[in-house]
This record gives sequence, structure tokens and C-alpha cells, in this order.
Amino acid sequence: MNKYRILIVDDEKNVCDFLEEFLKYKGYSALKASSGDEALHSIKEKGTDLILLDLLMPGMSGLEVLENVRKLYPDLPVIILTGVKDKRMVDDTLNLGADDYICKPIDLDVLEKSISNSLQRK
Amino acid sequence: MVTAKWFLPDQKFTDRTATLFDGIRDLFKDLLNVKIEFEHFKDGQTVQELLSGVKNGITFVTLYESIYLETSHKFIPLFKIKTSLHNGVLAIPEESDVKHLCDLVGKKILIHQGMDLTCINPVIAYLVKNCEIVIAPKSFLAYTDSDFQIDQLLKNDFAAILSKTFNYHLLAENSSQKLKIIGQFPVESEFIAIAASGFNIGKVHNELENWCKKQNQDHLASGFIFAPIEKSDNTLLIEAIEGLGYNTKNFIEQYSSQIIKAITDTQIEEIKTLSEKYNGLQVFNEKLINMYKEIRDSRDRLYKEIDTATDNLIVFLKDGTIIGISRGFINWVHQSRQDIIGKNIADFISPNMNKSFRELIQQVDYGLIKSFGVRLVKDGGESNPAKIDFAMIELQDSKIILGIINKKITKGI
Repeated sequence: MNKYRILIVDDEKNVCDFLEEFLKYKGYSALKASSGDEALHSIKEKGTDLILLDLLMPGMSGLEVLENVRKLYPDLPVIILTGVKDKRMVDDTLNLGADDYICKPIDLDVLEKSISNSLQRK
Repeated sequence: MVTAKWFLPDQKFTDRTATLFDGIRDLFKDLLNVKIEFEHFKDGQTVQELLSGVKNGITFVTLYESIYLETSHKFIPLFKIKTSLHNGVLAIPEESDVKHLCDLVGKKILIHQGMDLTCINPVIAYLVKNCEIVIAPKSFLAYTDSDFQIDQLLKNDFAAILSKTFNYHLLAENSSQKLKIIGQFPVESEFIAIAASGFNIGKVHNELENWCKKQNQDHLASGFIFAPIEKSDNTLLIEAIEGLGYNTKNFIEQYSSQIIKAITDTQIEEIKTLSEKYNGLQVFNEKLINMYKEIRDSRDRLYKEIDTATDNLIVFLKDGTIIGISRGFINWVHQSRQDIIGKNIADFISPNMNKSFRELIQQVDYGLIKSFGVRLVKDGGESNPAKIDFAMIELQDSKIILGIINKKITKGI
């Protein structure tokens, strides 16, 4: 069984809890962060193999987190998980180096495949 | 028995007004032993012309005409009829030495919204012409900002407040104690029954006063208010008319038609507005009915579409109760529609996660997920993997969930 560690970054507790259970069911190890600051701190202290990142969060936005991650950890896969369905936002995040952009509501099969593909590319 | 002619305008009256006139006729007969004969008159005649040569003549006039006819021609006001009790009231601080309108000239007056500044009312016209008018942002003296306004009045920011008696009486006692009323005057239509000076009515006044009080209690004609003439105090009106540079006669000559026209226009406007409102309500009702029909029809169409679909579709409530299934789903589970409807979806579908189906549907409702893998369970316990896409459908009063079972995955079933 793989034991990749995945960091879920979302200010909504329900989202973090649900995705944590889903990832654990799929054999991953899951960490949670409810803000950008907490996410960067967690990566530094505990490390992670992939980030599931929400865009709209209070304080540091998902885009800012992505910029920081790209500077500090250029090879760390980041999948954007957001309710924002805006083409310009998709382009911006992909240009900043996001590996995938998945809109909520999520197709769990799609999410699982995206995680798997991103980790294989790592 | 004395016979009197009562002159009425040459127009059709509503049932309510006709009832009023019948009541007046009965009153004169029973109470005063006077037989009333109603007669219509044509426009263009003055009251003096109308009643001259008639032994006992009575008619309705406007308030201003009545003031003039009473003072200049000794006509006898009998009683008045008005359509509401909303008189204008001019309030000043208790300590103020203002006694007449002329004491307010050049001073700042607060007038509440709702006082019709465009009506031909001499008191309002006088204040507008001679004072600095400030319109209160709130309509009613008695509402939350009343203390603030009264404080302003007491601090001499304003010399007087013009409001309506209705609002004034709603003031808290500790507020009203700080004020006094310089005078009241009618701001809405008011008509005076006036008799020619030669009409010998003896003790009619006292009888009429009692009758007016009784009518107000009994509401003879809903919407009309009777008031005895004795209690009228027209000093404020007369001072205002004279202050505007008129005597009562030429004020009436200049404005009488406009007074009548203003009232008529108001009434016409009200009727027109009512008609528009009624039409608007009808259109709204029709829209509601059509919307309801559309919802009902679309719900019926939805169920029909689902029933006949060859795809594997299932419709259920948030608690999992199945309320609709497609033919494709029936063919797959090998059970009758009656056996499936009403059962819980968990009897047929098991999620590919260690979460209950209900918990996953909560996440669908929350908007987090739209699709997940399941195992479809047949009656005999056989199961196959599948994937279901879910869509929440909001109906008029509830939510239903449509599950579309992915055909590619179920192809092998």
C-alpha cells in the first residue's frame, strides 16, 4: 500500500474532514491545514508529497500559497480544488505551476486519478 | 310637518353615499319632524342663487364656503361630514409665547411628510409662503425619531411642528406634556351641511349634535365621520386666509373650483391606482398559477421521462427513499416498480467507501462532490461496481436527487 502524504488546504472543516477520510480510504496519509500560513508551516515541519489546495481562503489566498510553494518546493505537486469556475483563474493557476484544476462539486474518481497521475509524475 | 329641499350635485352617488342621504332624511323626519325632499342642481349656480326663493333650503358646501356664507350671509351650518379624522395640528413648545400664525413668520417650521403641501389649504400655504419650511425625513411624529424632533423643537431649532392629530395623539405622555397646540385645521375633504338663513330649525343644533355623536358610534355610513358644527374652530384658517391677502369670499372665488378639483383628482387618482393595483394583483396571481402549473407539469414530465428512460436512473429523497426509477434500472434488478418504489436506496447501492450512502449524499447536497463509485447490489446479493453521477433537483417545497448510473461501468452487468 502506498503511503504518500497528502496535505489538504481548505478553510472549510467539512471539506478537510471528508477529503481526509476519502484519502485514508484510498490508502494515503492525510494532513489538514485551514489556512495558507498553516499549510506552509506544515510543509516545512512535516513535509508532504502532494497538496490539495483551495483558492478562496481568508488571509493568504490559494494563489499566494501556490506562488510560495513553487518558490520553495518547485517539484511538489499541487492540485487546485475550488468552487471557482473561471477560465482566467484556471489559466493563472496552471501558469503558476499547478498540476491540475478540479472544480467542486468533485467527481471522486477524477480526483483519485489526478492524485495518482501527479504522484507518478513526481 | 315642515318640508325642506335638500340640494345635491347632479351626479350619480355610490351606494354608500346614498345610504348616508337616506339616514339623513330619516333623521330629519324622526328627530326634527322635517320632511326632506332631495333635488339635484346643476353646476354653475352659487349657493345663494340656489337657495334664494326656496323657503327651507339645505345643501352641502365646502368648509371655506361655509365660513364665508355663515359670516357674510347668515347661513346656518348644521353639521359636517368628513372622510377621516386626520386634521392638521400645529404644535409648539409649552413655554412658547406664539399665539397666532403671524408670530411664526420668518421662523423655521418642521413639516412632516404626509402633509400634502400641494393641496389648497390656506394654513399650509401661509406657512410655505411666510416661514422657512423643513420637511421631516420621517413621516410620523410618534415614531422613533419623535424625541429627537421634540428636542430640536424645545431647543428652538424649530418654532413649530406641523403634523397630523392622529400622529400627535400617539406621542408619549412625557413628550406631549412639553408641547401645546396652537391650532388644528382640516387637511382632507370636509363638507358642511348648511341651511338657508330663513330656515326655522329651532332646536336643531342640539338634536344634531347628539345625533352626530350617535352616528359616529354606529358608523351609519362606513368611512364618513359626522361632527357637530359648534365645536369647529376656524380661527387658524381665517387668519391664514387673511394672511395670504384674501378675504374668505375671494379666496373661495379663486380657489373653490381648485379645492373641489383637488379632491376629485385625488379620488380619481386613488381609484385609478386601485384599479392598477387590482390589475397588477390579477397578473401576479395568473403568473403564480402558471408557475405552479409549470412546476407540476415539469415534475410530471420529469417522472415520466425517468420512468421511460432506458438509462439507469434512480430518483430519491435526501433520506434515501426511492421515489422514481427508470425502466433500465428495473430490468437490471429484476424487481417490479412497486417493489422498488418506497425502499431505501441503500438496499441497492453500497458506496465504495467506508462512509454511509447517506453521509455521501449530504456531501452532494453540500456541493462538495457530485460523483462517486458504488457497488450495485441485486436482490440475490450479487453486486457489481458502478459509478453514479448525482444531481440535486430543487422542487417547490423539497429537494430530490437524481442518480445517473454510469453505463460504461455497468455495461458488464
